[in-house]
Amino acid sequence: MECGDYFIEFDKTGFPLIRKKEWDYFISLFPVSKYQFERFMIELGPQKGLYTDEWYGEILKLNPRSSWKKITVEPWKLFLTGVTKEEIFYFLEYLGKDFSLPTVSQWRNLFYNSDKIVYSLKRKRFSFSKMAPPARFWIKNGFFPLVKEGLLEMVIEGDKQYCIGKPWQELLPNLWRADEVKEVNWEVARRAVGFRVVKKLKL
Amino acid sequence: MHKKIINCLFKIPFSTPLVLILEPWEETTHEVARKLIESFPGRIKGLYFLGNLKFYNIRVPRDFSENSPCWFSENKGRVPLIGPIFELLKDFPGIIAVVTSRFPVDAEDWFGTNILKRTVFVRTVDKQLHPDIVELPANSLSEIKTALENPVLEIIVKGKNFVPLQFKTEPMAEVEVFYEKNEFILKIIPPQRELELHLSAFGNQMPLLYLKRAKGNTEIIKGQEEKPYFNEFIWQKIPEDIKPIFLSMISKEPYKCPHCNELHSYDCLLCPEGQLILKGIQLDTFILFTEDTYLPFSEGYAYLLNDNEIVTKDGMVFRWEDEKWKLIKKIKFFDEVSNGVWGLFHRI
Repeated sequence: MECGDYFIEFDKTGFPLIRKKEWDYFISLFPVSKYQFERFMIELGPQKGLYTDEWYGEILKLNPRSSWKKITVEPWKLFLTGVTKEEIFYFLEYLGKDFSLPTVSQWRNLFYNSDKIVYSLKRKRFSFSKMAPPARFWIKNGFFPLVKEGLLEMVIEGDKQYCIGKPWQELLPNLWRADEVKEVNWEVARRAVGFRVVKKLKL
Repeated sequence: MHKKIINCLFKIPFSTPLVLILEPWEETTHEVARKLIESFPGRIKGLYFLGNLKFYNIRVPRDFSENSPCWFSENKGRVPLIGPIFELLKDFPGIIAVVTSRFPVDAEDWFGTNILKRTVFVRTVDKQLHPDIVELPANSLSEIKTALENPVLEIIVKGKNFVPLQFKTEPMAEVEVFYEKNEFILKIIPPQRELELHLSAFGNQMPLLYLKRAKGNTEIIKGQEEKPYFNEFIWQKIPEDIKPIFLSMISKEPYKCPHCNELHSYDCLLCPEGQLILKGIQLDTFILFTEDTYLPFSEGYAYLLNDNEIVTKDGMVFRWEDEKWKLIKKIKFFDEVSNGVWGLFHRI
């Protein structure tokens, strides 16, 4: 679906991915939400000790869940945080073989385009029928793409993993610039660390 | 699309189906589920486990007792999620019973929705699950049974350009027809058991039956086409001895009474000497007649005069104008109904 200078498509969970015409990948418009991850868990069930009631219970202890309709109070509760790169593996596989975590430059491209994306999406009256209800609700309320303030987000560069983004102050007080790459103390920052996904275009 | 006579059959269910959603790792859950399945034989067609989209069929209660250990172990450790199961059940018209010791992690997403209004949580622990849901402790089986009922409140049949001509319910139930806002609505007083409605209607598409219960969405039931169930209306010859009386009505002139040989006004149906004038014609009935034939309107609701006009047994004449049925005449005693057809309330 074309939307100004951008294309939009949806992942398996009905959440939007966005691509600027010259990019060779789509990147998710929101950090991965608990709603999305729960769709994956219910479809796949437990995998090698992961995604069990006990496992998810521990994740929710770090960052409890709230209804996707509550975007004004502690919005970080809507998103999945505190999971490791290894724990994300099956989720990426579930979305499709072209999915991965974003690189630093992919994330930054989203960040530098965020104002234009907001402008384009607000102007465009596109069909919401394919979109999952939370994504529909968040877009209608201008609650996207959450790069200027949101979570710390996991990005990769080669084999290395970093964090980028600027967490909500109430989640993790900070004076960071959003587009700066950070090396954080996992134990301290874990509850604030979420992730987006990218889908590589097939050439 | 042309209007035509439609013959259809509606099968109206009485009891509402029930589906269970179970927390998979609790001994108590198993016991409560067993009691519910045995208490509602036939109503529970199957179950889900929290955190799994797979539907487990239950044709007879034994299916549960035989297979449940395997089903429970298959679902062990799953995250107690209910949202995606609710999505599957969005169009399910029945009641949902969730047997659990915990409030499902994503159930809050469904607050304010219709599906939660027809969901009963049966808790297997003493502690309240959530203040904003309907929940009952597992040990109050009779209360649970009551909460899982969903009585029928209203049954109506309507459709585009629809006019009910004849109808019958089996077993017999009270049926009324209303004309509101240029449309006909057939209303059945809710029965205490399953019901079949045979309907002959005039319209350009199959009417639909709307079943409203105490909880949940109104069910929309489609009728099945059937062969004509009702006999056709049969016009009968007017007996020769009373034919002059019908003719005098048409011309609104006095007639000679066959009993007292005196002249009576055309609207006199009882001779002052006490004799019934239209001998052999049903009393307390709306009669349609022509110069030679008559039709007692003792069965059915409406008679089709032509493609655009009907007359009801209450003497109301409707014409199809501007894409709707308009009341054009109400016969109180006697009047012309349509070209060459008159209507008369044969009563004293």
